[in-house]
Amino acid sequence: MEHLIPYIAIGMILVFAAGFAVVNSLLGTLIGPTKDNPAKRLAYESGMVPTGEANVRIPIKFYMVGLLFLIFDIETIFLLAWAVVFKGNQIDFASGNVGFTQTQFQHYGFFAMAVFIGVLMLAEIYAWKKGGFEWS
Amino acid sequence: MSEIFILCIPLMPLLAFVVNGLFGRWTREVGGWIAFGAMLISAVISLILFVSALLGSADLVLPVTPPPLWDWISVGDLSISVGLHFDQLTAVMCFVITFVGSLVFLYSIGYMHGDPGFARFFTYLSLFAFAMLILVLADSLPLLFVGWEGVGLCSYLLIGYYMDAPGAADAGKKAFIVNRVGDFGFLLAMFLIYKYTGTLQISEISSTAIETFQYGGAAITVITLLMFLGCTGKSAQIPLFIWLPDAMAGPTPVSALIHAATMVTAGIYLVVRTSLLFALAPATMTTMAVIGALTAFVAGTIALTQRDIKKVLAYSTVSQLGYMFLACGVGAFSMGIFHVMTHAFFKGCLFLGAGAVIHSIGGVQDLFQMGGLRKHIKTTWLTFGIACLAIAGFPLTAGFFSKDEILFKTFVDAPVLRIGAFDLNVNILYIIGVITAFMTAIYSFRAFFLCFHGESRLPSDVRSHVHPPGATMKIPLVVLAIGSLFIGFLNVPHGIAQTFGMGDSGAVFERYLGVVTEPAAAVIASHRTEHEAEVEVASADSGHAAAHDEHVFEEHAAEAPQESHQETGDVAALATAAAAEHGAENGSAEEHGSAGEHHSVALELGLAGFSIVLALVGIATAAFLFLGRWPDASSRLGDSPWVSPLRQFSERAWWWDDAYNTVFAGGTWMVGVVAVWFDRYLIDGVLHGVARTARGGAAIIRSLQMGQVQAYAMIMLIGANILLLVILIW
Amino acid sequence: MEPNSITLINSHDLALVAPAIVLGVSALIVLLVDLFSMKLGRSVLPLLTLGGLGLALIVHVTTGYRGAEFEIAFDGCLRFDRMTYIAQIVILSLTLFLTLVSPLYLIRRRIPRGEYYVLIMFAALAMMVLSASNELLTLFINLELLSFCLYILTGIEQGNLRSTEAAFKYFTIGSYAAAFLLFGMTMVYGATGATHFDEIRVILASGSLGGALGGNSLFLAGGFALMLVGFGFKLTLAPFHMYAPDVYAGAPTPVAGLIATGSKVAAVTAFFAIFELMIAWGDLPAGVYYALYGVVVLSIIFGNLGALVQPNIKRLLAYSGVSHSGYFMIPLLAVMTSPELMDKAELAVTYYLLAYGVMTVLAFGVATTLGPEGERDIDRYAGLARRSPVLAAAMALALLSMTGVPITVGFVGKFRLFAVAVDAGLYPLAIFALLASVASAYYYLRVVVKMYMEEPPAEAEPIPLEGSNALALLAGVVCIFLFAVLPALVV
Repeated sequence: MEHLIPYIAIGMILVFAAGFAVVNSLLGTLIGPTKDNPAKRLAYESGMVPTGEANVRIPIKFYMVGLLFLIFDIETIFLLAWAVVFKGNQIDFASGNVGFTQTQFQHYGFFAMAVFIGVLMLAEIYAWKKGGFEWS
Repeated sequence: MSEIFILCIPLMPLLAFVVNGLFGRWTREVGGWIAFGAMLISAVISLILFVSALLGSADLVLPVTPPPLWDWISVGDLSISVGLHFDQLTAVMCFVITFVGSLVFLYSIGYMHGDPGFARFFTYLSLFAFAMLILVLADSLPLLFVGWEGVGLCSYLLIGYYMDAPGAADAGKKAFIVNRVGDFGFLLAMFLIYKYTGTLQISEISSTAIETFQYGGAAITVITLLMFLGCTGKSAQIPLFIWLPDAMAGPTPVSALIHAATMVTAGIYLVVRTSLLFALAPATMTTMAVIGALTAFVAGTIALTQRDIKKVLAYSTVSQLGYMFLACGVGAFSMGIFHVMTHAFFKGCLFLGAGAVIHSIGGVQDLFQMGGLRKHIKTTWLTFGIACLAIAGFPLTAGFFSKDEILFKTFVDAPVLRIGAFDLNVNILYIIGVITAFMTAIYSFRAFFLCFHGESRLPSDVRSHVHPPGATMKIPLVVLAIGSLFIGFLNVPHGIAQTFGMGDSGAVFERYLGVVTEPAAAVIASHRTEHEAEVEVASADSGHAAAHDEHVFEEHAAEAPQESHQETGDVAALATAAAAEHGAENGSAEEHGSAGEHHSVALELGLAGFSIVLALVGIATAAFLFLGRWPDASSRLGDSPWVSPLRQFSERAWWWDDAYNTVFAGGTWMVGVVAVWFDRYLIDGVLHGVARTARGGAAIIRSLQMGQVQAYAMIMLIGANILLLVILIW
Repeated sequence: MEPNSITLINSHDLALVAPAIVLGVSALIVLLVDLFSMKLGRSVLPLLTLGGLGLALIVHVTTGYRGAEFEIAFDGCLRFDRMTYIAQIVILSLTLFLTLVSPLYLIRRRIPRGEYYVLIMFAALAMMVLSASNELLTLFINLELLSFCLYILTGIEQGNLRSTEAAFKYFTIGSYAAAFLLFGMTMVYGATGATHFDEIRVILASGSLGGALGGNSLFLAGGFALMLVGFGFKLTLAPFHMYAPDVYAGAPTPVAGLIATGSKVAAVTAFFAIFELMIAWGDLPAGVYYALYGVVVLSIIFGNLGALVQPNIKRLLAYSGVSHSGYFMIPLLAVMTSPELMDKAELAVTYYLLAYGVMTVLAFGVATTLGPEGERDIDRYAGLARRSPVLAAAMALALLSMTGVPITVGFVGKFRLFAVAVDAGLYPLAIFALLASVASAYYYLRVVVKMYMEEPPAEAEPIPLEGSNALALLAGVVCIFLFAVLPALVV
């Protein structure tokens, strides 16, 4: 149990935080005035007068676009990191600790990225063929 | 050759059973004749065998044991084959069963005429005969038990024959259930016998019994007591006699054959068949004698007041069976069997006579609705009267010889009750026996007089329609009545035979059956001798005179020696051998030589005379009370303040049934209530509890499984937290 | 970490993952064929899938693991040993089985077949690699790949609300559980500074973390606890099983079969690797043992009680799966008390992977073959023996095997699991599991009784049996007996 002693402070903070919130909300409801008016019942929208319903249906197409964007976004990020190390300049090939040459390393990197891009391309073809890029 | 004949005895009724059972629809009334014919063949064979056995024919070497028919049970060391065993005892039983049986069959043809279940009746009856014959012919206890249960089944079926009649089915059930109690004892005894002797073959049991069992040991006492329990069931003794009176719900020929002449004597047969075992257990012998005497007495008192003619006869049967057990209990096994035989004749005759009466007056059974029937049914009146004389012990009738001999043996051999305060030894069993004999005369002639004499009390519509029985019913009555008169001469007691110049020709039957009972008799005799020797030594030491009293017969033996030398000689020799076997002192065995000369003509004649006087006084009493010349004598006596409670006691059969109802039925009911409670609340409770817990648990799980993802997530979170807590804090 | 351990991809590694590569390539081929050959008809798709799976199986058996104690590939990211080898065979066979029974079902339910087969194969691929994972990230990525495939497959029946609902639930709870798993992994990584199991094992064995939950060991223990939660979800261990009945009931039946069998087989194999890590840690808190004990007991209780009153066959199988997961964990508990039983426990679990896979997939196979009738109420199974003796026999056999009736794999499997517990002296647990197993006969045999002793509904007709389905079911039946009679064929 003694290993938990350092965490006593954290536990106390948790208790205080929760207690602070609870006590304040309780105080507010207990002693605060409860005069009602229409303005108080409005949804808070950064000071503007709200328009329309709060529950708006967002077309599914947005999600499709979002998903596709995610795929290519990640591809880009991945490519960036790959490009940085592709040449192998950070590796000391001469040290003898590495079991391959720089050329081998580059070929390997190229091959790996080619597979990745290839599979991604298939995915794009799939999305395209299935009409994922069509808005209507 | 005799083996084939012996096989034929049970086979004929079996054949009749098969024919009537399968083709009863077509045979109809002819089926009765088929059954009778089959039975008659068996009866003829049995008669021939019995007579040749009785005469000691050289052609018939007893016992005859036909080769086993087949292996029945063969498990491990246990091997039971279906085999028959025919000796003197079996010959008697076969003779009684088939002879009385064929007469009853013949009678039934007339009695059951026109009954819709005619074929069924004869099917059952034939099956009964077969089972009963198997019972007496069996060479092993299991096979004997098959017959035992078979006759029980037929008894049940035939008691409930009038299944539409109220109470018939219940009576059948009662008989069956009460018998099961006894059978339970018999079965246990069988198991124990196998455990101790390793065999169930009766001859092997007998041959090993003396080595296996210690005289008076716990094992043999338990075994024989259990067997005796079986006998009390089958032979309607206290405490299991209550089924027999109810069994009268069956057709009257059935009562005659099964519930008087044959089946109920199976218990006696079993005791005699295994007499050696019983002889080794003196405690059981005493129990048997006491139970027999008590039953005889109790049933006799009940028979005094019964209104139903068949009930009178039923209680009379119970009473007579008590005599037989009394005989066995005092060691007079052959006298027990002799009484079985004579009883079969006169009680068969009585029952068939009662049946003829009931038949002729259209089903009335109440004695107080009869009267004056003598004019209408002369043959029945005559035969019934003869049978009544026989059962009452009128001189020279069958009952006289058999019952008197039992009383004599009881007087001589029964254990005595010692009343220390008065320095007196009382032979209470003999006293009970004598009182019962007196009552026997009264109740039998009460029935006789109420039925045949006096004013007719018949309902007017019946009175004009009395129709005498036909020939098929008359012939058996006559034959049985003749038997009731003369069969007793088979065993004229020694004393009487001597006195009337018959020399040594007396006690034919006793000698005849001696072959079967002598090992038992030898054991009893040898131990009695030992006992006497001890007692005498003891009395000599203390100088007490009581021993003298106890063995009063010794004086007689001293006064009148030598009379029955020849007969007792071989028994004495056997006793000597047995005594030597048991390591008794030689002195005591020699002592027996004089002790064996118990028989005394004077004593025997004296007791016989006493019995005769009792019988005559009894008949006279019955005549005084019931013959109608002294009107209201019986009712005035019955209503007098002193007798009235006794009469009620008797009429209600000592409240025996009521007591059983209260104790057993009520007890069973109570047990049932407890069991139901136990079952419902404990067993079911546990079971349902488990099921309910499971279902409850399942319900909780189902309720958790509400289908809401947030709930699942919450449960996972709680689980994860508990897991973390356990791992981190444990 | 020493630099010289860095290597590029080599033929040895490739040979070990060759089956997975075959699967991936076949999946892409199927995808393309589906895209561009609409007019050719789609009947080639299952054939292609079967071909791919079959080829993978052949490649796996011929080139894979060669009976060495274990082999390492991809810088220790993958580890192939006996358990992995057999688990992979089981995974491929199960997928093959489900592919064989699927075609008719897909046509009946109008399920897009191209995606279905592609996802099935990707799932198989993920399972293959997952079962060989020897590194935290590899494990997680493949677990997620598998999960994604299964999420989509669960909801692949567009327009079926139940299917969609099940997919959504599965996805939500799955992500939630993945968070636990990932958080646990980060804690383990944080405590040890390594993601490779081999490295973690070395660090744990060195005792440098310190015991008594001081310092980093607190994180390590917490990490293991959270990973247990994450795997508890995949393995449907109580109380993390709640989603299973809903998902199984809503998902297309063959997919439910895949979730119940293949994914669980892979997860058990992967979890066993994690478990080996825990065992390697000398200062493993006793709480882990009790926590796992509690989870096992709870799983057996929840699984059996839940199945007791279950009228829906797929939900029943889900609950049954919960209790079987509990049984799976029993040898692990035994090893925690007596480490020398490790070998025996591994063999028992390996055998039960096969046993559980065979009998469960056979039950799902029958349900799939029955189609719409077979995936709802147990009452629909009334009199099945009259309508289709083969299906009824296969179902009865699967259920009897789950009950643990002798001369079935279920019996041998359970026997081996419980035997390990007995060897370790865990008598209460063994007896409890045995009793629960006996009690489970009630709900298994309920179905058997319905099939054989009740009259079929009046309007019911005999059920014809497709050739491929018959082949698959026959193979399943043979396996149930074969591996029970000759367990030596497995391990």
